[in-house]
Amino acid sequence: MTDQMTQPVQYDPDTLQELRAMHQDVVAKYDPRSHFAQEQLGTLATMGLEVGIPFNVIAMTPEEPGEQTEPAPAGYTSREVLPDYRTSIDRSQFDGIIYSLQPGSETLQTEVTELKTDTGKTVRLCDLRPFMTNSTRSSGPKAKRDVEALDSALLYDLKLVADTNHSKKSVSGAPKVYYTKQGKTKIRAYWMLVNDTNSPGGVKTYARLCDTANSVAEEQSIYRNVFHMTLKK
Amino acid sequence: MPLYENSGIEALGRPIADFVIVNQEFDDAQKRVGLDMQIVVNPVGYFFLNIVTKQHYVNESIEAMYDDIANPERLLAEQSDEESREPYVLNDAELTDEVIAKKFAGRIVDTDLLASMFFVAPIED
Repeated sequence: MTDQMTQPVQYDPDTLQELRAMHQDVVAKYDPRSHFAQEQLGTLATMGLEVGIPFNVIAMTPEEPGEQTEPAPAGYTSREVLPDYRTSIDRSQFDGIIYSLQPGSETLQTEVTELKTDTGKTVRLCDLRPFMTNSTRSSGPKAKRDVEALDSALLYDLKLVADTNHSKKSVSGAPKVYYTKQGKTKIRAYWMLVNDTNSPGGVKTYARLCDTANSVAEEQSIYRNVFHMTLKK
Repeated sequence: MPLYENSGIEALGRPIADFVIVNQEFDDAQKRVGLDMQIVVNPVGYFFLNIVTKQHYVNESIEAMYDDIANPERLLAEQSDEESREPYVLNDAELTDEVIAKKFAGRIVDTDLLASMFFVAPIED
């Protein structure tokens, strides 16, 4: 590869800045999944194409020097990994629901991310994927863009649950287990409400259980191995 | 890439022996508008089927269109067989248990249905 080929593409800075400002305005003011916001983003994508600037470049937030804190995800005002905090999740609450936990101690301990929604609700998220058996742990998307998109979609669904007490997507036959999906793909994150005895009353803790990549095989494996859903022949 | 060379075409003309709904999707009014089910067709094998209402299909297609705009590189990625398989669309406004039972219990697999069914595995003795 020549030096010329590795040169980053240069876009007109004024146009890029203007499009980025419009994008940030839409994302800041509207729910990014609303019809209106999607219309606006679609228009922005079209405008970008007309001047040769891809939408992913417009949507990219330029790094600001000196910025240390991670910005809150869309729909939230803050996100913080709680320092000096570990969950205390009794594994017996997964009996008859989750069948792929590795053998181990009776209590699952892990770090927790606390998020505050823009409507003032608080929700906590912990990651139990490392506690699963190898085959379950290794499933899920590998491409960075898919991983990030799934993480973002999961946080969005948690916000909806925190704000409305309803989740739109649930696993049949596995009480309290819900899933987040990425577009029309098979990319999924499975999660459930758990009882963390260390958590203060009223703050709900959700546990991420496992993911699937864009693969029917992985999805079927999750239903068979994690939730023990099988068919009679 | 299919899991097995078998495309499941042998299921044509055979009845659905059993099915189980593995997950379900609801709209804002808590109506069930989408679901995934596993199907068994004896002696051919196990299948996977995504069923949606017409309205949900439209909503998902719009969402996917914007997702494609936002992630143009995904369009360049190789489309797998399972990605290209369309869901089975019902005209019903809601996928109640009655609707599903009436339309799928013991139903004979026809070409329309088979086009949305994804072959997962053969039945092993």
